Amino acid sequence: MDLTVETNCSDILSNDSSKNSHNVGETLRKIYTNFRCRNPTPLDRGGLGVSTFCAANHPVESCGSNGLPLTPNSVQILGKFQTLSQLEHPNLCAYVDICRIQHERVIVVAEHYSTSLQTLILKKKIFGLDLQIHLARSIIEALQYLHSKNVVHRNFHSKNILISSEGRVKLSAYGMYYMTQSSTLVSFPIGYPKYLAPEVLLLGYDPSKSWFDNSTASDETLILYSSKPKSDIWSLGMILLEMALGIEFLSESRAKLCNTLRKVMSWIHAKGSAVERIIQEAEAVEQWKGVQLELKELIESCLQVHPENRPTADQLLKYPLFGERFSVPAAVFKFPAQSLPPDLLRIHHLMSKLPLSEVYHFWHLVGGDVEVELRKAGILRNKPAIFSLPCVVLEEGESFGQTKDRTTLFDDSVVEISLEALLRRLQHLPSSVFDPLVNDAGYILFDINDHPTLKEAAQLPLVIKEKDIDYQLYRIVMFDKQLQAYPLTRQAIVKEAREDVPPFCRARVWAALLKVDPSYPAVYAAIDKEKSHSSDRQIEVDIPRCHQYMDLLASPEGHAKFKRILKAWVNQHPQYVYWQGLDSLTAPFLLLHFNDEALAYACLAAFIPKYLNNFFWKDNSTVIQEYLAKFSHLVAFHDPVLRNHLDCIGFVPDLYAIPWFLTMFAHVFPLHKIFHLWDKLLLGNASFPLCIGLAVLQQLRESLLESGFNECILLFSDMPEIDIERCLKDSIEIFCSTPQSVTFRQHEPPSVSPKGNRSFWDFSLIGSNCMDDDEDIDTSSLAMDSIPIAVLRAERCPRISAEDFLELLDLNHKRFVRPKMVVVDVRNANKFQHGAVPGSINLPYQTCWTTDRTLIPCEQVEQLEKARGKIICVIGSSCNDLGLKLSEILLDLQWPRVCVLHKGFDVLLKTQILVVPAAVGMC
Amino acid sequence: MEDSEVIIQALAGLVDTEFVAKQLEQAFKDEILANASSEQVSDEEVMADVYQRVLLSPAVESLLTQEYELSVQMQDLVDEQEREWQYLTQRQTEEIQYAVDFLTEVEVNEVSVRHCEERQIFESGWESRLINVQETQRLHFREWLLGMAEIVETGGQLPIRPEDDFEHVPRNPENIDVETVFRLEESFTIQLGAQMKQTHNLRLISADVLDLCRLPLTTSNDPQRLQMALSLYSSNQSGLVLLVDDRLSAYTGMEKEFLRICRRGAELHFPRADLQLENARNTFSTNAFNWRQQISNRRICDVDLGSSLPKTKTPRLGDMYVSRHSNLAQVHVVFHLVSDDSIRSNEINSRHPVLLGLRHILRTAVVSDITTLTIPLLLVHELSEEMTVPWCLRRAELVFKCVKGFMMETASYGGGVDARGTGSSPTLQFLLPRDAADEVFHALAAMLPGVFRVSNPLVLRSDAAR
Repeated sequence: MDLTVETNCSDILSNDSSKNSHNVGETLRKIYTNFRCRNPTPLDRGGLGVSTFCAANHPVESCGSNGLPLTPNSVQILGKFQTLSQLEHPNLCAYVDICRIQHERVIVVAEHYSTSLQTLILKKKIFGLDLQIHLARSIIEALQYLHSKNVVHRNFHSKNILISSEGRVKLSAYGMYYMTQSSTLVSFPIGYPKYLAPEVLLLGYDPSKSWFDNSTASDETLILYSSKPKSDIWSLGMILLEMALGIEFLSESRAKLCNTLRKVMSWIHAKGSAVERIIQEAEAVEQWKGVQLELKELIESCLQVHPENRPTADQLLKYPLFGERFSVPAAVFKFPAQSLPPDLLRIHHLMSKLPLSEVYHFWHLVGGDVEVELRKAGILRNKPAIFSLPCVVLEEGESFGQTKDRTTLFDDSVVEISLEALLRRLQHLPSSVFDPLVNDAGYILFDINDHPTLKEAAQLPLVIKEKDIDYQLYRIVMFDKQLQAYPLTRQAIVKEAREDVPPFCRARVWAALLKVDPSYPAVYAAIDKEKSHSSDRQIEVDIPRCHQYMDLLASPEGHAKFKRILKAWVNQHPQYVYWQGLDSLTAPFLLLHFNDEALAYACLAAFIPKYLNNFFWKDNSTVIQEYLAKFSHLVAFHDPVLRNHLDCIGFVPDLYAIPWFLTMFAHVFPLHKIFHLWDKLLLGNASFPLCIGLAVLQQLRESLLESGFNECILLFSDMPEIDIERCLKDSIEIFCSTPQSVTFRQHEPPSVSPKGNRSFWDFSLIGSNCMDDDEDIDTSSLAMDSIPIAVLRAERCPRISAEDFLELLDLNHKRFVRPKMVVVDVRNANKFQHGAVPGSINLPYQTCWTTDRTLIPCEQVEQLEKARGKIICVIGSSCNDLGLKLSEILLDLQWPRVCVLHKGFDVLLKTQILVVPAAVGMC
Repeated sequence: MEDSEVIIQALAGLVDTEFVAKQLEQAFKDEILANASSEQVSDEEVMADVYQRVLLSPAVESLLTQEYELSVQMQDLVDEQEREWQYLTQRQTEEIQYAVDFLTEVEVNEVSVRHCEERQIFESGWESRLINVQETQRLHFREWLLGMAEIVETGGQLPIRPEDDFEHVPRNPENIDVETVFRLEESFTIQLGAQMKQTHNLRLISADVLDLCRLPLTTSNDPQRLQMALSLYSSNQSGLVLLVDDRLSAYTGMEKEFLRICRRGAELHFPRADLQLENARNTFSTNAFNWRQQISNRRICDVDLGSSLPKTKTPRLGDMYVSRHSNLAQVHVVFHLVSDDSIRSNEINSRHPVLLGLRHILRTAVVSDITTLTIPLLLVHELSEEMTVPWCLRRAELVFKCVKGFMMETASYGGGVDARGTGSSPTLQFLLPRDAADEVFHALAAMLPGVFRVSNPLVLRSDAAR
């Protein structure tokens, strides 16, 4: 794949449209689905429900086949859950979030409705035939969808079939079996005895799960012992039978549990379908007679004793029951919606269109806490820890005398989250915040100045802003709107991203900033991610050590994705090799796009050429050397004191800065800081990271200046705390006050547009408005050239291109009110008199300094002294390096912002700016 | 196994459905709340709940006074016993002296037999008296607590007690001042982890290990008592590692001293310390012994090596038992870690059983919400001749490094690192014997930041401009 930064999505679109107008719609639709919210199931009239369970503990002292400690089961569940959160179907309750708390407990948040099929049956509601068909069809459709996604439900119960206030049927708790990896990650059995298929029960239950060895986790045994879709069909049959008869049969009470289990297992002795037997045992022969014939047929086929005789969900949908007679009994099936105070109806209506995950995010921001909710409801209780201590622990690690904690037993209750507090909190917001007007290019027409609270929030520090509900709501809704129209709205997204990126939208905003081509899924699908590669072993070693404090990245699911993305990149870029650090670069993208591996890959593949061009060559020493040399120049340019100190103690960037730049800091900071760092980094160009590096150094300036070599090494061996927000502010300042050519690199990616917009599009800085183009000169000779690495490393001051020089000189006083630069000419007075840059100071190299490397005081030096703080550009003759030498003397004297004109005085000859100094006079 | 295969087998009668049904029933009853037997909250838990409610009510002061008075009563009793014991021994010494000097051998023997009997009568008499008082105290406290809880619940008037009806002047030399428990003390905040840093607090202290246990009965409203009472049933308990010998005997060594301290305070929540010890000894000789036998049997089957069967029913080096206390000065939980003379050697490494035991203690502590843990840094409680300064430094470095490893290992036991933040930061106290030289203490305080990474404070400055 050749995804360079030039790839412009709108170009692709316009190309498409020229060929086939039909394609545009197609492509657009695809883009919409690609850049939308994680799971867009809207809140609608639903609610959020919280449930919890404990993962099984690993036996003490067990470790995996690689010798590392086993991943906690709760972390594995977190990884498995991610697939579930992607499922969307009108008849499924969407899974929204999962989190992990102490003692291996996980908390699951999902869409929830308070009415279930069970409540209807218990209330003795009479189900009309239409209703029965509607229910059956909805459940089967949901089941068909689940099976198509390789999810086995197994957790059927009439209380897990919820019904919304408009009468829509929604399955809930269908993911338990899947997320617990066929119940191997928990110690309790999944499913309800009376609905489980006989073949599931007959397999028995081995609490130690001895057949499943976690350390070798082989898929075959897992598949062999886990339940199959056909078992779900049996459970479906049982549910439909209960519904058709309008009764609950088979007791679930503790006393009759064994009896129930025996009965279900005995049904295998029925010939063909077990339904007759069940009916007889339930003494419901009369009711059964009243059941409609085609429904009977359906139930009968579901309850076939032999799984292979049961139809699949697909086949069931083709049954005559669902023929043309079917009509949606919309009117039959309505309950009063949850009663809301009338003053909240407006805001609820506005919120109901937002995705559930967004509503949940907001609920969090107003202080919602799932753990607290569970505690309030009494589901989560803590036995004082002192009672669960063991009595004896042996040296081998085995412990005795611990009583089983009742609070860890599985409780299937669901606690409904009340959104009232959230709604009340948002009540004051005008409707326009929820649906801001945007123009065609995606620019927002909502004026934040009309809303003092939002405007105030926008000024707050980043971490506080991210917790401000009003502000986040406004930002998220706006970004949602813009992202939906990506790539047409890319410029608008960039503009808003400069302000800040709300964490909730970060994943998609980053993809937009990186100009990811909407065709990325196909690209990724075409890459070989399995082929063995020489770096496989290293990848295998690196992944379990990369940002493992993030549960998702530590889960087996995360490791598998990690490996595929890295291998895809390595296989796709034969010119590059795997360097350690690539894993750290991948981590932020993988975490953000955990459920869209292809997008994570696409982001990585776009990021590397933009910021780390050629860094992954097999021999990348010249690339890195050039980068570090430029970094040194930048330090010298902005902070000569620091640079001289570090030089003096021999603490060169090679010793600390390679991991910084090779991973764009992803190896040195925790991910939550990387997110903030990259939010801004992605807006900058390839040179911007150099400025971040300098800002980091400057934050540690005081300790560095006080330290010798050893202390410095120690300080950087483990990155100290850095205030990222300040670091970013500083680095933008540094970037804006650095002439572009100072950071010019031979290996920087080819610039996006050749001229006119030389400076990068995302920050305004010196040189963004180019010099007048009316003068017909050959600008290429004025540009920066690549310089041999040895020369670059030997020089201590940066070079500036003539192009930048002219801009900064600003002869017409067009750009700057006060001059930004002072020019020092080191040629001898004679040459100077023949022609010089207007306003330049003549400090002939041979005569201006003493042997102890100080400047001899004179009128010119005084003049220079007055200009301290401005950029000092030293011009030498093109045929010697005296200019460079003087610049280094200035650097030694701690003069800031010293640079040398690249190619010396002669380069200016063609520019027609030179004058005879006498004519200029002294300024 | 294919689904249909199971059914075919079952139809052929190859599956013991009755067994399967029983097995499943058990699983559902053991693991699922809806099927589990109705809750039987233990007496302990009920009391814990009531205790906490009273503790968080205005009655807290009465509660602490109550506890204090009961402890003083116990202490007076134990003091009396010890005085009488001293008197008895003195009298007997004099008698035997007299007998040796003036009486025949037969008569001397008679006297010593009588003395022996006297001592036994004394001990059993006192034993039953102490147990009696203890039981009475517990019953009394329980009733008092329930009564108080009811008053608190119903919002009734708290009984007002005259301020000074009970004035206890510390008169016992064992009542030590809290301030002097730590002879020397230095605290560190460290960070663990490569990118995401977890903060822990470390403290280096020099103190007598038993001084952490001795209850200073100075005043009825000692803030430290309140602190300890509040955290007793919370998820912030304090633990202590006590090195003991493998006899687990109540009559010798560290255990004897420890039990004596436990006896001096009123234990109103947990079984008496000697009963806990007894229970542990039983566990070692039954469950633990059986488990070890099984393991070594299996090993013998696997390889025909002479991995001998466990012979003794006593604990081994590195084993430990855990006791719980409500009447100690600074600890709730004590890990009695079995150690022996091999620990004095200069040659021990990280695979030494005592260090492995320490690892299990750290794990147990994290899992059981023990957030403050005190560890004897040199793995001894008393210094001896051969423990020179270099020995101390070398030992401390080993323990520091091992503990650091254990801490990193246990980091994953906690909840996930997510938006909730990293949670509370646990505290580890490294304990040096009280008689360790200042020079050693300062050398170790200097060594610690080299092993652990001391956190660099993030300095936020209001002036962004430089």
